[in-house]
This record gives sequence, structure tokens and C-alpha cells, in this order.
Amino acid sequence: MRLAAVNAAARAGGVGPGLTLADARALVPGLEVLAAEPAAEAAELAALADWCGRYSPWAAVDAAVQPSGAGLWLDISGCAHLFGGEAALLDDLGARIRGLGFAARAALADTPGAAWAVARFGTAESGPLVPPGRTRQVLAGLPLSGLRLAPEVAEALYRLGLRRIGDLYGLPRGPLAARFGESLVGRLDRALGQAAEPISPRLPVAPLRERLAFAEPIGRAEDIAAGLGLLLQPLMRRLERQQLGARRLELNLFHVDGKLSRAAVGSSRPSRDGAHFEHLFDERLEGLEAGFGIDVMILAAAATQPLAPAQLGLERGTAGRTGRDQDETAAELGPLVDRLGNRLGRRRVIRLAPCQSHLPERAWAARPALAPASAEEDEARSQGRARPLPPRPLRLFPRPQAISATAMVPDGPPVQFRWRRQVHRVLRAEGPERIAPEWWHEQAVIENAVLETPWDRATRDYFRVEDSQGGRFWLYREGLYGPQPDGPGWQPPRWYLHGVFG
Amino acid sequence: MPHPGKAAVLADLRRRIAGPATISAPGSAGGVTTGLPGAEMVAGGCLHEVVAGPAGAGAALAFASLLLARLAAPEGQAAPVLWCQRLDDVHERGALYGPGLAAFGLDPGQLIVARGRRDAEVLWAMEEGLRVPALAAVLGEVEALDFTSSRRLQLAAGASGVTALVLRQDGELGSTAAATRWRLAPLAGAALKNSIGDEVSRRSRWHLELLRCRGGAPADWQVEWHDETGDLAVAAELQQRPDRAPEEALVNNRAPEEALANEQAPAPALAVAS
Repeated sequence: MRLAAVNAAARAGGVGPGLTLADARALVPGLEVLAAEPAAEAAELAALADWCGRYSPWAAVDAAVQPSGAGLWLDISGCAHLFGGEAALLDDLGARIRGLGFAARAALADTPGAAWAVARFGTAESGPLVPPGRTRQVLAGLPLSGLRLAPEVAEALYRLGLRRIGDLYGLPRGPLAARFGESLVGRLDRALGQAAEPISPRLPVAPLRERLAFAEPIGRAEDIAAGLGLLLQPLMRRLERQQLGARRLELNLFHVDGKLSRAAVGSSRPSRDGAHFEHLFDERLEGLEAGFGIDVMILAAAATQPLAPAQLGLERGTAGRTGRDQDETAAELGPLVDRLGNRLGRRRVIRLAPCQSHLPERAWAARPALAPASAEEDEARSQGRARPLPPRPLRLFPRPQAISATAMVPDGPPVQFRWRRQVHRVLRAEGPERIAPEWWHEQAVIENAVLETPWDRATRDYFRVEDSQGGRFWLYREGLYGPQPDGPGWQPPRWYLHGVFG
Repeated sequence: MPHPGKAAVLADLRRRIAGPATISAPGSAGGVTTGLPGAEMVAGGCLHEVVAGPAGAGAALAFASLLLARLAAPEGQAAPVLWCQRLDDVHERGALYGPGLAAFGLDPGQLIVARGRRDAEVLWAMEEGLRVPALAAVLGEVEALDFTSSRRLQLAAGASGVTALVLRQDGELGSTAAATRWRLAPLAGAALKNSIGDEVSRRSRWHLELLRCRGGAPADWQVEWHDETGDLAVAAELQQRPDRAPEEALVNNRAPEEALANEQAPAPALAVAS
């Protein structure tokens, strides 16, 4: 068991990371030891990286585990002016993270590699901020481990007498790469800015963002709603200028104690209606715990689609349904479907659409409401109009209910049947209506002329029956009676209840 | 100026104190013509309750679909309609089937179905729908409806002009803020005979009761659904059903009108099993 990290008091006693536990206990008798929890630490670091989104959305966790401690990357290009300059941003960041209880050092440079080196090995007189263009000079004085090299490479360089990054500047690149590998040269190039090293952010970065920071942390629901309103207006204006409509909005709320709350709403059609989105967010923000307070809110349009500017009609707000045309109706239904879908679930707001199938349970399917009609649907609709069917029930069970029925063999209507432990005596029956399986779906292999084909087994004869109480049902018998073959696979036909009439 | 006759005065008074369901003047916006004597029009912009009597779930559903269909397409122009139901209703009683609804005049293309887990969600969805004037009507299937919920629905319907229908099971029929309350129970079907006297098919028949009507009198009818014309008609002869004496309905004194058509039934699409 080795030590992963020590605090200042232990370091004063002479122990450091990498020492075995026995040696450490020998050096410092009263040492308190805690088990390392790498998973919990990784989660904590990830949460902190998310919280750093209040500075810039390009936040990532430094994946490599170094003995010098864990780290975060933050790309603040274009964000510094919001905090009053780069130095102020660094101070603010450092102060807040230390306030959360971490021991932290921050540095700012032109390239990630340089920032990494300065943060860990930078000296007090150079300061945490590397002025633009002075990367080369500042890096020259830092030790070689600031380049994130593999330990064997660092050791080999050390044995050759190369201690500082500046020692590598004058050396010819070819032999260096041949002797120590491409990684050394690559790291040097990236640290000096001659090669690119992008930071991949933890969360996807939305192109359109509005940010609102509060001088005092807020916690009341009305204040959060008011802040949301203040964010929605400029965002909608920007969308309008770019002729876009939002399909998905994400609201990130940064708490003062390092937590991040997120709320997202979606819309089935691109929209620029601020009031509509506010209404959708109300539902999401209902159960929000403000904790110690929220000091930054960021609203981002995560998914957008082109939306042409709406033409205002001369008559707005005419009452009565007769004055409406299809576009207006669709425009009003969209927000309604969004509200219903956001609370009940998008798959629970549907419309009934015909399909090209004559099996009753496949003839009509549920489609998302407001999804445009597909070509197959139009085709099925016109076919349905051209070929009217016998009466169909008002309600159809998605899975036909198995019943036990008594009927005259081979193809008589049922005389009585038992469903859900209740016996129904059939007074009158109409039918049969034969619906055969779709031969283009089933594999109707005729194995033997004597045996039943799967076709026969799945053929349905539908009956409309009325029982003594007046209830009307749609029953069917699946399978045909034929001369009983000797084969083992034969089963007698079964009865099912498929629907209920009015 | 001659004094208006007593009959005219009485007629005028009757019309003024008549409530939503007994206005006989046609043309009130958004209403539904039912063709039932004594309740020719069912007004729009308010809440109507349809209760399923014993074994009457199918009948109540059919009547509710009928009202919904007539509200959605008053003069052939189709308007969208919202139907709110519970998820376990779908599994227990079956999902709505397009052709079945189309048989009662409701175009499934105009239907938006919203499914919630509990009654509270269904009622919430109904209220959301009642705030959208583009809808013609909103229907919700709930287990039970208490007075407060019915009052909220009635107010929401009145504010926007969208009609609200509630389809519920029989149970505690307490006070309600609904404008009308109907109850349905099924009856034996009316036989349709072909030219040689054989029965070829049956028409659905229901015992329809108007239990409560704001500003009108309760009534009941034995009605028959004519599939081919899409009309609800009062049955000519009463059915003898010795085990189903209706207990609470007040029988109307008016004689049922001659409504059964004399024409022969069209050639049926089904063949009777011999």
C-alpha cells in the first residue's frame, strides 16, 4: 500500500506520495490514514469541471493521473472580458475553488501545455499569468517534468544532463526524436504553440448562449423565473436575427457551493416564442433545490432549426373557430402538444394513423402527434376510403384476450364464452369475417399436404356477438378445423376476444 | 297593439328559463344537435358528463364519441379534438380503434390522444386542452369526478368556448358542476330484416338517461344508432326486459316520435353463418 496524497503537516514530517505505508508510519508515528476512493474522487472532479462551466463551457478533466495532483483544463478564449480581465478571472477562480475546500493552483497561458507546466512548477516571481508571446521564455526555466513526459524518457534526459525545458530548445529535432521518441518532440511543439492541442469539453457546447450573473446569490423560485425571463429575451432576439428556431433549450444553474443544476425542455417544432418556453420551464423548475444560492445562470440553445420569420396577419386574435386556417391551428396545437409531452412523456401524446395492413391490430398504429403524415400513411388512408370494411369495434385490445368459447364445430359462431372469469351467453352473432395472415410476412411453408400449414393455423374468423346483457364484442377463432392429421404439432383452434363495440 | 296571446307569453317564458339542453332554437354557437325529443341541442362551451351504467362501458363510449364527432365537425369543417385517457385503461379495456371511431363520425386524423398515469394527470391534460381555442372539444376518461374538478373544468370550458366531455364509470354520483349528466346502459339490438324476413344484422340500442340538466328536466329514451345515416333515433317499440327495470329515471310523458325508417336495410356486408 502506497501513499497517494499527503497534507502539509505530513509533508513536514517527511512523508510524500509514493512512500509505502509501513515506511510512512515509521517516519510519522501518529499518521492518520484514509483509504483512497478513486471513483468518488473522479466524480467529484467531474462535478467541479461542470461547475467551472460558469467561466467557460470548454471545461475538461485532466485525465492523466499525476503524482503532482489532479487537474482541470479550462479554455477561456473570449470569456475573460466578462470577469474584468484575465488576471481577475484567475483570482476569482482560485479564490472560489479554495473556498470550496480544495488546495489549488491555477495558471493561464497561450497553450494548454504551457499552462500545465506553469501551474505545477511555476515560481512565485513569474506569476500564474504568462503574458501572450512570452511562453518560450517562461517555459525555459521550468523543469522537464513540466512537459508531461513518460518517466523513462524523463530519466534518460536527466542522465544526459538535460534538466530544464530550455535545454531542449537548441537541440536538433531529428536525433532527439530518433532517440527519445516522437512524444517528446510533440509535447515540446504543443507547449510552445507550434502544434495544436484542443481541449474536448465534458459537456457539448451549444453555439447560442446567454449568461446572467448575480451579485448576491438568489434562491427564491420567483427570482429564478425572473432571471430566466431576462435570459430568454436576448436569446430569442439572437435566434430571430439568425432566422433560427429553438428545438431544445438547456438551463444551467451554478450554485455557490460548487453544484450544478440542469433543466432542459424540448419543442416539437422550432419556435421563438419566449412565453411558451417559460411555461415549459416552469414545470421543470418546480422541484429545484436552490441550496445555498445560485449566482450564475446560463441558457443555451442546444438544438436549433431554420425558422422563417412569421408573417403577421391583419386580423390577429379573431375569436371563433371558423376564422382559422390550418396554419393557425397547427401553430396553436404545437405548444399544447409540447406541454402535454413534457409532463406526460413524449410517447404518450399520439395520434392514430392508418398503416398498410389488413390485420386489425396492425392496421392502425400510434404515431407521435404532429409528426407529418408519411407517404405510406396517405396511401393507406386512400385505400381505406376506396374499400370500406365491415363494422369495426370502438376499442381494440393490443393483445387479443384468450377466452374459452363453446361453438359448433367446424365454423359455427360461439354460443357462450368465458372472459375474465365471467360467463357471457351469446344471444346473437354475425359473421364470420375471415382475415387471413399476410402471406408476404409469414413464412408459409407447406411441409406436407396432410399437415396443416402455418397459414391455416393463423387464419382468423371474426364474429360480432351480442350477449344477454347487451354487451357487444368482437371475437375470433384462430385456426381452422380440418381432418385431424397424425402429426404431433396440431393444436385445436383457439378463441380470442379482440374488441368491444358500442 | 293587441295583447299577445297567453300561449305566446308562455312559450316566451319557457324559452327564457330554458337551460342549455332544451334550447330548441338552432344556431347556438358550437352546440350539438342530438335529435332527441326534449333535448334537441346540447350546448357547447361547457362540461358534459357521460356515465356508464351497468355493462354500459361500450355504450357510453359510443355516445361520447358521437357527441365528440358532432362537435368536431359541425358543418363539415374538421377541427382537432383532444382525448385524454389513463394508461391502464388502455390495457384493461382496450385502445381506441380508428375505424370504430370513424363509424360514429369522428375522423381519427383529427384526434390527439394523451395518456396519463392517474386521474390527476388526465384532468390536468384536459385543462391544458381547454385553454386552446383551436380545439373543438376535449374528452377525458376518468374513474370518478368530484365537484371541485368538475367546477374547474366547467370554468375552463366557459372561458375558452371549448366543450369538455367527461366519460366516467358509474359510482358515486354526487353533485357536479356539469351542465348535463347522461347515463347509458345497453339494450338488446334492433333486428334488421331482409326482404324475406330473415334477420341479417342488428342495430345497437341503448337506454339513454339524462340524469341532470341545468335549467331543464331529466328524461330518458331508448335510442337506436343508425350506422348508415349516422343518426341517433328514438326506438319505436319498447323492449321488454324483465330483469332490467330502471330505478331512477323519470319517464317522460311525451310519446316517442316515429323515427324508425321504413326503408329496407341495405345489402349487408357480412354473411350469416348457416
